[in-house]
Amino acid sequence: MKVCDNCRKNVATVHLTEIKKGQSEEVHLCEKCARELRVPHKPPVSVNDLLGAFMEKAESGESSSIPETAACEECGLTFDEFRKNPRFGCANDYKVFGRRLVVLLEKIHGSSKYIGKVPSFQDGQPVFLRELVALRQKLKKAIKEEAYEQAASIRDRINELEELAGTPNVGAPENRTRPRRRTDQDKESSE
Amino acid sequence: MSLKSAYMGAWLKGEGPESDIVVSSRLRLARNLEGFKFKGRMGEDEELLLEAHLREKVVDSTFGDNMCYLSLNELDELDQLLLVESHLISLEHFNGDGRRGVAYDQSGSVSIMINEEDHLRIQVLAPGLALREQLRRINAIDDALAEQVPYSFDTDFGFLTTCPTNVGTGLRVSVMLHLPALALSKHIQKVFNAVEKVNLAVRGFFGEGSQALGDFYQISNQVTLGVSQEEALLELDKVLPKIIEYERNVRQVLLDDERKILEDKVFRALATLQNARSIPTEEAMVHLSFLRMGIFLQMVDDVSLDAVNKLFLIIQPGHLQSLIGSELLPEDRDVERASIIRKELQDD
Repeated sequence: MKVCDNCRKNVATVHLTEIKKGQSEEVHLCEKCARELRVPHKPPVSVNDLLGAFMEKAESGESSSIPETAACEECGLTFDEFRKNPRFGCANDYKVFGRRLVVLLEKIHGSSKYIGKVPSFQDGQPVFLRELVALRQKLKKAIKEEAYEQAASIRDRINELEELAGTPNVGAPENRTRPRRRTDQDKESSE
Repeated sequence: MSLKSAYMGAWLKGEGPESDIVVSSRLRLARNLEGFKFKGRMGEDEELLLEAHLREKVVDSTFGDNMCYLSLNELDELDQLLLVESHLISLEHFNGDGRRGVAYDQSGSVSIMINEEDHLRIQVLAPGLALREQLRRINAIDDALAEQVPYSFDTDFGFLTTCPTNVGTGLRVSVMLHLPALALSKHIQKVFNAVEKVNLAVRGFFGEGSQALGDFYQISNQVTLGVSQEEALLELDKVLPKIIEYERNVRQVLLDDERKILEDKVFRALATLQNARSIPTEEAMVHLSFLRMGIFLQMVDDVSLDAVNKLFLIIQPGHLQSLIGSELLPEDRDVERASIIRKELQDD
């Protein structure tokens, strides 16, 4: 029979499993202490803690030409504010924060390029936008299957379309240059 | 529509594929509208306008059976708590501020939160493991809404969201698992480690920012950018069958080798629930968890799964106080909770 972790006197009848950073921790409490200590729905690890860690990683070694105090003209949010509380203020922030944001998204998701469905309201827009998103999926598949020649030609087409779309793409200046010949280094970084 | 209809969502029925281990499948999409600032930067007028606009679109829709809408600003805290416990709104929505609300259907299997962290949080909920079916369902709702309200979308980043962890597909898939044998045999840590290695997250009973209660754990995808919806589901497909099998195997090993110990756990749990005169939520959840396992292992045959599933919901503070019809102090709640459990297990 377990003794309460808190008062070390009474028999523990309340057993909680708390998950912190993937580690489970068991807490055994008597009813009295459980009642006194109970903090309902206390977040074990917050999204902000997690993002804070990513943010540090994203910034270390990354210099940006955009000053942290430059505010979005739509919502007024600065990168400095975003760093303290990682929530965007409006859609325009995604354009304003540029390269710094791309680095952050790559840290979080391992990618900064969308793959998935295109909403129907985009139907009125040029057909190639839909093709562009679809090609990213094809590129991923080709790399996975080690079909590098095919991957290179898909990448050329993606670059063409991104040029055509005039996608802000502030984040990836390297994509704006002419496609390079694939090297082993590229192969590693894509996988 | 009375809030009481939020009781006992269809997802808690204990049906569906793999229902001995998988309690429910929940999918949600985060969406924002073009032309509006995101939640944190909107003024009150803008929030009101957006709420009214979206409310009309979702209530008039045929997304669910008889959709109704509740403005959280017009509900007292107890009613809001009922919605959290029924998994119709998130903890964040409950704790949030500003003009906000939720639309949900009769069965509690579709809910659309308005002005949560994003303008729209579309959610579908089903019992058991039903990811593909629910993905089709949520996409049908999403596509129909996209035709009526222009979403904030970018070809580079996908669906734009308030938090950078949701941008892209905006899809979060959460599967709630009941893993009492893995917890009892201390194998649960291995599951956590394996899950984290493949970029999935383990969360508590009420999702993000909540604790595990009664050996219920939610496994969900983390990555939303650079992977399609289908790929996100495939990530879960890789680990879920293994976890389910692992739990079943450990249950079997315990049955074969430690039957008396297992029976002791299950029947002590049942005896406590049948006899307690005062019981806090957490303790009741732990005992109900063992009882649920005991029913699936055919150790207990005079208590129905329905009764246990119902108890998981109605012993929560919001539902309990709503049943009693008044707000109660925690110690009085414990007494009422014990009484409701005794009655439910007796009637059964």
